[in-house]
Amino acid sequence: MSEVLRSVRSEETPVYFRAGPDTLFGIYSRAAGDGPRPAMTMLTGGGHLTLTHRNRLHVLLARRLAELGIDSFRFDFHGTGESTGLVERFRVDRPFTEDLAAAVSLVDGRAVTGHLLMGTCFGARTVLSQTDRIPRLQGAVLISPPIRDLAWGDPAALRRVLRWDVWRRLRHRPAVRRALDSRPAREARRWLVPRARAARDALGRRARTRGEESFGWVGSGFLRPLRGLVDRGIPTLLIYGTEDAMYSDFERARRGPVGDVLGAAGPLIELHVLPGPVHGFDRLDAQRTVMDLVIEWVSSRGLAAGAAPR
Amino acid sequence: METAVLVDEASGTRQESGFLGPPGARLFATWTFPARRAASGGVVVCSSIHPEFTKNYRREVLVARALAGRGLATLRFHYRGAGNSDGDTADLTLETMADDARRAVEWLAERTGGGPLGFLGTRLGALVAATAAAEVEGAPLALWEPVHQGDRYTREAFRARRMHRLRRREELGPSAEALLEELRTLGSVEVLGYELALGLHESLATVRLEQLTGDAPRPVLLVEFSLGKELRPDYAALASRWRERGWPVTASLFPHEDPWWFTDDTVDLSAAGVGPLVSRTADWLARTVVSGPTP
Repeated sequence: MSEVLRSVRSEETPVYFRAGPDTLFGIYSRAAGDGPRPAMTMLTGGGHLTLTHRNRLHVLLARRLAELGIDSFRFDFHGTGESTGLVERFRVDRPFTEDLAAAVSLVDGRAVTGHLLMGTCFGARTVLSQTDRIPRLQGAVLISPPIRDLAWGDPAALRRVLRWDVWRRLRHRPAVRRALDSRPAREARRWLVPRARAARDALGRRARTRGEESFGWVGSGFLRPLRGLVDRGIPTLLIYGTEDAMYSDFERARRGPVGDVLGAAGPLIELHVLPGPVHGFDRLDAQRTVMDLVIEWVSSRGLAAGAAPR
Repeated sequence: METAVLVDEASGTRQESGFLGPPGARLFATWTFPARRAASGGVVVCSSIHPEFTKNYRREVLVARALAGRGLATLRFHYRGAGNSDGDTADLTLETMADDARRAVEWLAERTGGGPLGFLGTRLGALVAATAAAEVEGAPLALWEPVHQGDRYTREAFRARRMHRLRRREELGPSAEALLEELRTLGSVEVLGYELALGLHESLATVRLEQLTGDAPRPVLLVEFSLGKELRPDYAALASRWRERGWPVTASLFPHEDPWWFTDDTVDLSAAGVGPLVSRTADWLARTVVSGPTP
């Protein structure tokens, strides 16, 4: 991986651009040569990451794409990195559609043959929110996209947020501490928690006993655009890690409507499930494997420089 | 140098971002200036690396904008081998980071007409800031949660790696000593998706912040991120030693917990969350940079 960085066959141009009330920052990497080429717009996950993504993932990928003759554009969401604005929460049910639309518009102005979009988690849901609005979309890469339309994408994330974020703000307040340590509060917890767990377990057992499974929880923000990609014949690379919190949702959803979409898609959707965690990219092997998969996918699908737009 | 320019009327700032230096050794850098007046001085921000780079990024951007509002220019940059800059992460050492900081000092001095300079060093960047500041007489030095003993950086990284495994209900894995041996043998060790290279570790191993700052007195702002009520003992001792040398040292607690190496990438950037840190740092730098070297 380190060898790639020594040959920079691209011209990297910083750019500020408007997106609604904010000004975003991005870096456009133009591959060498004058021939026609597509451009991949890369979105990070939610959280105050920068356009480099974890461990320079987007920087390295941009340089590898340049070697294939593919331009790329990475940018900071509003409220992150060098962009203006403020964002305190990244909600899966409120993707940053305006940011992506502005980025795509900028890339459009660079005389590219078509668009490739790549997003991680929240970024993947933001990609999905726009796929039906991009006429020259040639491909989509979705890494660990949450299935549900919950604000935080999955129950585990919700629990983490409730535990860490809200709790962090409240727990040091003396009044809150006193209330939680009070006898009535302790007794209420003792009464409530086992009953809530029992109810949850009973609901699960009832569904299994009936032999039917309800899929109302599968987010339309995931399912509808995924179907849309299939209907338009747009190649999609979908990657999960077996230890991603949202992967269990994906596996369950495959027994229902997501499986229907995958079945209809056939080879159009290329699914890779990697051992261990991918979401968060806190392992080097996951970073390298995902980069290799993206490069192989664009190459095998004929999406590299010179390919005609769909 | 090609830069992208943002003039933000709301914050009264002008921001220029681009790549500086020769191909293959370019640094990505962002200047922030007051939009409507000449800067009365400048501040070089020396960031940390690995996940600390990401965690503090936005806070550093906000400080730069706050400093512009107080009449100071700022230069933030990515070291070679980090962020958007050229270079390989495996080649990062304290020496290369300090060299990059020196280039940043030159560039900022050019743009501010040689006005007074100060430094902000965050976490590992504190060692870089101290090295660069030692070459600028009396330059104020603001430090956020500084790594003041270089070898602690590696040890903290290894501890975080083991704790991460614990949180995932895995076995702890190799001890810190075993990881150090692996680092020496293989040349790098993975820590939570980052490659910690032997060169970096060796360049930090015997380094001490107070030795890097030199002997000439300068004002210091030492900020600890803590929910406690008192400065932790090693920071208190460090501040004492500087004071004994006649340095004006301001110690401050920013009530915040930040597990630097962990993968919760969301940072509390609300006004209540980060406002005090940004304003306190910007106020201190604005006051000390403009007032000139400590007599």
